[in-house]
Amino acid sequence: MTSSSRPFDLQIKLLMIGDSAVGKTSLLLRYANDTFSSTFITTIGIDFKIKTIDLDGKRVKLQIWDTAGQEQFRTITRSYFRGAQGIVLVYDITDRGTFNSVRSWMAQINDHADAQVNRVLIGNKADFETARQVSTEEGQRLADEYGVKFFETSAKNDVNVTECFTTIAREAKARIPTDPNNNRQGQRLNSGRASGSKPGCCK
Amino acid sequence: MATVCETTRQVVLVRLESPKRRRRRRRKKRDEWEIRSLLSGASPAAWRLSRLRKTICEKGLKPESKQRHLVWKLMLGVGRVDAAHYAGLVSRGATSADAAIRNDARRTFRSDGRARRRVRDEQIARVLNALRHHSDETTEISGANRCPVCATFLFVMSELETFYSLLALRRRCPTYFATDLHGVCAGAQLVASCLAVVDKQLFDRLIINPNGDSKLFEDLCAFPLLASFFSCAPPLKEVLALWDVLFAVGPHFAVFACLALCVSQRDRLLAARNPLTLLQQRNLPPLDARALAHKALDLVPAIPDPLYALVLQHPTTRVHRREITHWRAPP
Repeated sequence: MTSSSRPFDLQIKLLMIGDSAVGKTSLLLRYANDTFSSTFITTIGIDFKIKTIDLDGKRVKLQIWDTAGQEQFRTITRSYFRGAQGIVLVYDITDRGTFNSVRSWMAQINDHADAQVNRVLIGNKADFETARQVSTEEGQRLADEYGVKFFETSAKNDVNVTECFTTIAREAKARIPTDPNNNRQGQRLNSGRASGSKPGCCK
Repeated sequence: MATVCETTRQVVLVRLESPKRRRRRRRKKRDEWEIRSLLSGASPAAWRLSRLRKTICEKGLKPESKQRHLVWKLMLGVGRVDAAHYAGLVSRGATSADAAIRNDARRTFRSDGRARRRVRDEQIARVLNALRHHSDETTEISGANRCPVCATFLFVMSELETFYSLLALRRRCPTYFATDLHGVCAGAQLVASCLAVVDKQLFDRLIINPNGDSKLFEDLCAFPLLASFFSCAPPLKEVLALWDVLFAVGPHFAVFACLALCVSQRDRLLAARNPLTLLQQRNLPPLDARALAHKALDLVPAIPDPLYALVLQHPTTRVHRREITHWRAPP
C-alpha cells in the first residue's frame, strides 16, 4: 500500500501540476512505486500517493497529490492548491505548448496556493531527445526567472526523478520549522484544515 | 484431418462436461435467446421493454453478447441514426479541442491490449470532434471524462452508433456533461449521504474529518467513478456489464453502484489503517459488475424516499449540497 507504518518526524504535502499528458502520474508512479507502465486511463480529478523517506536525518512522510491536467477538472484540482507546501510544476520537453503554459500555471499558484509555497520546475520526457521542442537552456532560464530549481527528468528511464522530489521536500522542510503555522499544518493533515489539506487518509 | 481431430476433441469435451456445467451453458444460451426474443418478438413493445430491463437487472447479458449495442441504444432511447448528418460533421474536421482529445484518446485503455486493438484513437477523435461541431462548440461535451466513455461505447458499437449514444447519454444526464461537472459533484455527495444512511459505521470510518465533511471521500473515491461512469475501473468487460444495468435502470444508478462498491468492501475498509486509499482510482479492486448490481439493488430499498428522489433527479437538475448533506446525522 502507499503508506508506511514506521513513525515519521514530519509530514510534507506536495502537489503535482502541469498540462495534460506531460507525465505527472508517470513521475509519481516512478517515484513512489518505482514502476513505469501504461495506466488504464488518465487521472480523473485528483489522486495521491504516500512515500516516506529519510531526509537529512529526519523521517519525512511525503504526501504527494497528483492532479488531472484537463481543463474540465480545474475546479476540483484548484481546491487542493491551498495547504500544499511544495509544488512540482511539470511540462513536456517534446511539446512546446506545455512549456508555454508554465507561466499560466505559475499565475495559478500565485492565486490559489499559500504564499510561502516552494516550487520546482520539471521538464519531463528527457529520454525522447529526437522529439525535443524545448531546450534545456530555455527551461533553466524560465526557472531562474521565477527563482526556482529546474530539472529535466525521465520517468521512463528513471533519470532525476528522486532528485527532483528530494529537492522540493528539502526546500519545504527547511522552511517549515521557521514558520510555526505551516509546521502545524504540515504535521496535522489528519485533523483537517483548508479544503485541500483534508484529513484522514494519511494517518 | 486437423478439423476432424478438433471436432473429436470438442465432442470429448462436451461428454466430459459435468451436468452442472452443461446446465449452466444451456441456461446462458437460453438467456441470450430470451434477450433476442425481447428485442424483436411479437409481444407489445412496452411489455418487451420493461421485461428487457428486468432481465438485464436480474441476469445481465453475456460478456460477449452480440445484442449489447442494440440493448444499450434501446435503453438510452437512441432512435434514428443519421449517417449523412454524422458524415457532414466529420467532414468539418478538427475542432479547437482536437489536440486535447487526441492527447486523451492516446492514453485511454492503454493497459488493455484487447480494447486498444478494437478501438482506434482516430475513431475517438472523430466522434468527439463531431460532437463538438454538433453542439457548435458552445456546450461542452467534454465533461464526464470523455475519452473512456466514448471508447467504451466504441468497444461495443460502430462510430455512428457511438455518436448518437453519447448524445442520448448527455440528454439523460446533462449535469454530468456540464462544464463544471456539477452533476458529478452532486452524485459524489449523494454517495456519501446514502452511505451515512445505510452504513453509519462505514461512513464514519471513511469520513474521518471530525466535522463530518466528506470532500476527500467524494473527490478521491466517488468522483472518478461517477465522472467516467465506472470506465476507470478495470476490467473493461465488467464495465460493459455494469453499463447494461446502468442504462436499464437509468444513469442515476451509478450513485447506487458506487455505494455498493463501498459496502461490498466493508470488511477490508473497516480493517484498513487508511481505508480511503483502497478506494482511490488506481487502487480499486477488480470490478465485479453482477455482484455490484445485485448489491446496489439490495441497498436501494434502504434509501429514504426524499433522498432517493434527489438521486433520481441529480443527473438532470442542479441539486444543492445542503439538500444532500442534511441527510447525514451529526457525527
